[in-house]
Amino acid sequence: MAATLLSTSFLCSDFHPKNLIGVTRDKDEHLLITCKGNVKLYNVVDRREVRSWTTKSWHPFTSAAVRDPVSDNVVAVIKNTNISQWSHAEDDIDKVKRRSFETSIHQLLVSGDIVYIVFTSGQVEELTTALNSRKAPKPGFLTEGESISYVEIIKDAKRIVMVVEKKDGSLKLFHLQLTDSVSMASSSYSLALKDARLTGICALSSSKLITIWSTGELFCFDLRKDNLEKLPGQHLVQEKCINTSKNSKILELSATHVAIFGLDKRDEGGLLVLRDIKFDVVTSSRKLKMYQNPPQAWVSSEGVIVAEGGSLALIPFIVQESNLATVFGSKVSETRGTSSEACHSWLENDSTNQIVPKEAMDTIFCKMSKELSEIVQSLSRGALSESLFVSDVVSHMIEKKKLLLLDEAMDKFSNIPESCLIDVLNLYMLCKDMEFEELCKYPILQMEFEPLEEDTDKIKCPFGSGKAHFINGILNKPFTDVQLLKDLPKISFDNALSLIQYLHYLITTGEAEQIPAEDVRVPSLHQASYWLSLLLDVNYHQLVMTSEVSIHRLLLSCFTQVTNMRKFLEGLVDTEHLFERVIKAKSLSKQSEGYGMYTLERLVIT
Amino acid sequence: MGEYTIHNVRFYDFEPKAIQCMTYEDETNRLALSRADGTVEIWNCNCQSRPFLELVIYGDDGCSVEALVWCRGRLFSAGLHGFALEYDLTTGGIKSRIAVTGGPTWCLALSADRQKLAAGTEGGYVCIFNVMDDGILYNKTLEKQEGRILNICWHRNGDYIVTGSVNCIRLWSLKEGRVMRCSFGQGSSQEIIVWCVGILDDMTIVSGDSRGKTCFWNAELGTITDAVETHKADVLCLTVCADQKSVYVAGVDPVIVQISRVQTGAKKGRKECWVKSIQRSIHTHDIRALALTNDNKVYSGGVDTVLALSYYPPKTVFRFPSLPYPGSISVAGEAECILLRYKEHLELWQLGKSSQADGPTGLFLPISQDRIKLLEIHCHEDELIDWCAVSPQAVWIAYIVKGKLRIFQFYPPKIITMSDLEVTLESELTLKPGRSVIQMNSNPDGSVLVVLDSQHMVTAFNLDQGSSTTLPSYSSPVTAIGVHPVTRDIVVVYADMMIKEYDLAMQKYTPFCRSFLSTCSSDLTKRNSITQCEF
Repeated sequence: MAATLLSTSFLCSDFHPKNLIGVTRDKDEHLLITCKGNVKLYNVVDRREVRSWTTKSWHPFTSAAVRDPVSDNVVAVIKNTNISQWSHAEDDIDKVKRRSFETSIHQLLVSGDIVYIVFTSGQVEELTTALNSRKAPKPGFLTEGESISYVEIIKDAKRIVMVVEKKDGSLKLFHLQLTDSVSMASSSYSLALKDARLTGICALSSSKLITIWSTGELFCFDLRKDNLEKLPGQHLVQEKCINTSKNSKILELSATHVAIFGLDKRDEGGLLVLRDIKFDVVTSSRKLKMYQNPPQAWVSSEGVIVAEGGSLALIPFIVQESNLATVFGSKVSETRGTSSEACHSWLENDSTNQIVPKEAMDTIFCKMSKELSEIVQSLSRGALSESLFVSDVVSHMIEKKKLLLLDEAMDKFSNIPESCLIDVLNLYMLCKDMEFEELCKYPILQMEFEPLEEDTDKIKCPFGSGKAHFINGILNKPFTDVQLLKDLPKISFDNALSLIQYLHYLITTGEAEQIPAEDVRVPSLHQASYWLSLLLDVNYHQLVMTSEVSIHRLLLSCFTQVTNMRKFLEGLVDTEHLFERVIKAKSLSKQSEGYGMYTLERLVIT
Repeated sequence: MGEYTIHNVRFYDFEPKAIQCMTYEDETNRLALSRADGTVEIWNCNCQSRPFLELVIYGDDGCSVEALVWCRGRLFSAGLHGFALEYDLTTGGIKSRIAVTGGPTWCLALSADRQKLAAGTEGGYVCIFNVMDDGILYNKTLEKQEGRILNICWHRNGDYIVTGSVNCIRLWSLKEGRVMRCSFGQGSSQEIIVWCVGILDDMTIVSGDSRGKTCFWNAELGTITDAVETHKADVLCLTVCADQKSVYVAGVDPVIVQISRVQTGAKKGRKECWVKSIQRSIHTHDIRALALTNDNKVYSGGVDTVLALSYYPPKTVFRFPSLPYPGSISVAGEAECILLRYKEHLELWQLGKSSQADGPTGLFLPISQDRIKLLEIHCHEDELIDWCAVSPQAVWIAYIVKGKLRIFQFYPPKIITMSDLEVTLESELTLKPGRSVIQMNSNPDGSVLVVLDSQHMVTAFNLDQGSSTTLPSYSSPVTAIGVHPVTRDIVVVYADMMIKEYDLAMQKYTPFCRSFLSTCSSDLTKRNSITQCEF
């Protein structure tokens, strides 16, 4: 399964969107939601507000509160220059001592067990270091007129990524070594793209910098390997779903997946897109009612949290290791409404005479008749998995009533959805025997058999040889019973009866063999009995309530046949045991060991 | 060291009974539980995580035990027979009984000062008894109310009693003689049965009902403050933690749910509410009884007959399946016979034989001579057999019916009871005053008798010499004792799985014991206990 976003659920409200400052993780399943006037401790699992701490309106919070993992205290910035720390049990934070700094604080960051203070001057200090030297000036390395627009700590690399905006709107990037006090920066690098404005940025824990620009281009820059002069790095993809002229928020969900929240390109409101950056595909997207500029979104262990007007929405997600198997067939969401890319084909009668790679010899595009190939080519394919693709092909051919081509498709494709099997079977059942004659070569069946038991009716095949041949092509396809049971009711009761009669014919006459030969189309005994049991399951009530003697006779005959086979197989169980003992040259024992009401066992203690 | 034949006896048709109710006393670390057949089991929980069955008080068909209460080491019960009973834990009998007004009794509760006992009855009466040194004494009956009283509990201050009935909970003020009714309202025509109630120090009533809800009530206003849907079907039992911040509930859905009190912040100030917390899936069927220790260990039991001990953290579960009681199976070693006890009869079986005498461990031997039922002894219609034993040669079979010993001589067949003149008392052995016999064993020739008393001291009597020796004491209680048939050494097994071998002649532990039994075998340190020693 591809990485996916799950259903959106309401998390909480009770704040004005303008007052919301940020959401950070607390212990376990708790979040700290910071607004200008209060900090709320919120339990995500039961959607309950656990605690709330309020500050006076003239002392507002100016940065999102964080949890100090060491002391378990909540740390918040009040009125830009004051740091306040309090425990979860604290009632009145106005009584808690505040530490004031000379320099304004831009943001608090948590990396591992350490809380860092990011000053507006660009200086980054550990909380404890900063508190011990709070009277000292924090000159930093930013000049006047420069402001921080993005800052993140890459924990594993012990690096800070800081994007600073100058007065003229140009951006420069600092990539700094993380220490307990970062006050110097040797060099900065320009972060710009021609005729474009940066609308979203995210530094991943794998030291990759993802940027999205107003032109819709998504770039990736490896901070460990690439030369910083080459910012913004490698062009990944053109973003198609989100209107990138407005600001977007990029969130890291895993090493290979990011979520981008921005304005929906096709509709009003916001859109959250889950993007696999390894394969450059969108695997899932979620529509949100509202978009605000700048967008506010955060990641917690429970999901992506998005500010949607006056409330917070929680969108849980599932991300897996990104490999071809998980992304295959998942590109649907991105290609909605747009034409799919052309697909190469290696056809038997291809005039262009392409060289067919060895790996492609057995793909779905080889060894097809010209007519089927043309149908396949005429259909929009995209990056669809075989099962999705087959559905389109089959429905197209059912519509055109192409019996021979359907038979070929059943033969050529290996991954056929159960719903298609039923649809095709239904079509075959509706067609008369005549329509199948002379379509292809098929073995002639013996239509009537004399039963071994006396006083029973003759066993008749309900279909002509041609029709039976086509139906066999469906019955011998592999299927999943749970999926098939959903679609089996599509077959009418009369047709189901005919199928039961046919399966009875196959089983009783021995046409359905235990291990059929490779070139035989008739389903195996196992497959036939599997179909029979599912048909009985689905039509149970009609079969029970029917008063038709012929149906009762058919069921009785089925029962007799199955009972005989079961008795035969049970007889083999004893024989199996016997053979085993003969092969191992063991003496024959009359008693079954170990499980009787009373047994004797030997115990030797050495 | 030896070669043996294990007889796998699966033809003993033992039927374990459902656990009905239970109670735990922290002072003595003992758990009492009753089963569906009226039997009361006393489990010794002194040894960490290895409780063992210490005493069985047998019930009979007419005996139902619906409620059990400990009071300073004394055990009281009540049932549908309409009496409150006190058990004699030294003899395993009933010490005293007193009729309860209102007939069949569903519940019992002890006041916090342990001076008073309250019983709730089928007739809607709450009877109060004073707990005296020599039994319980009737004090008063509270005003009769409509409907049976299914559950009862005391407030810590002793002034209030809470009862659970059909469609309502009642708060009884003993000082003011007033009853307040907390009703579930008329919203539903469906009958709501309040199976269990509890009351916290802050006058919060907790109730579990047939809708699967655990409700928290303001006792002063009679209104629900919190209702937590913990189960899909009836909540049958609840227990309140010592810190009063958590409640455990369980019921027909076999999960034990912890409900915790949490604080939430709101604009108007701090608010407390109860939320569903951890849940434990230990049992397979209805859980009927819960008991909680001071250190938050939960004992639970019900229809699946298994006693479970669970606690968190760390996440730990011990399961103690119901096994045949001591005195249910007796082996006649020399005669190779086994005596099996059923409720109303005994069966003596001659065990089978095999012609094959060699082979590796675990080999199932062919049976050359099958088992034979030699004897079936039935007792009278209204009698139940409590205990049985067979002599090594299977000549004598002894069994206890209603506290009376009966002895059967197999050949020639003859039943002798202790009241018959044919039996004379040969000698009388005495233990220290105030102690009773819990377990005893002897060697085959009867020369040494080893006795475990109620103080967990082991005394060995040399019947030939008429002397007695008390074995050294040990920190853990004794679970099994035995006497070696040849060396006469005494083997004692303790609850912590330590095995000691004592040389009676030298009056000290044997060299083998000192060398090899000073530490517990790793195979034995698992969650089990030894209940019997055989040689």
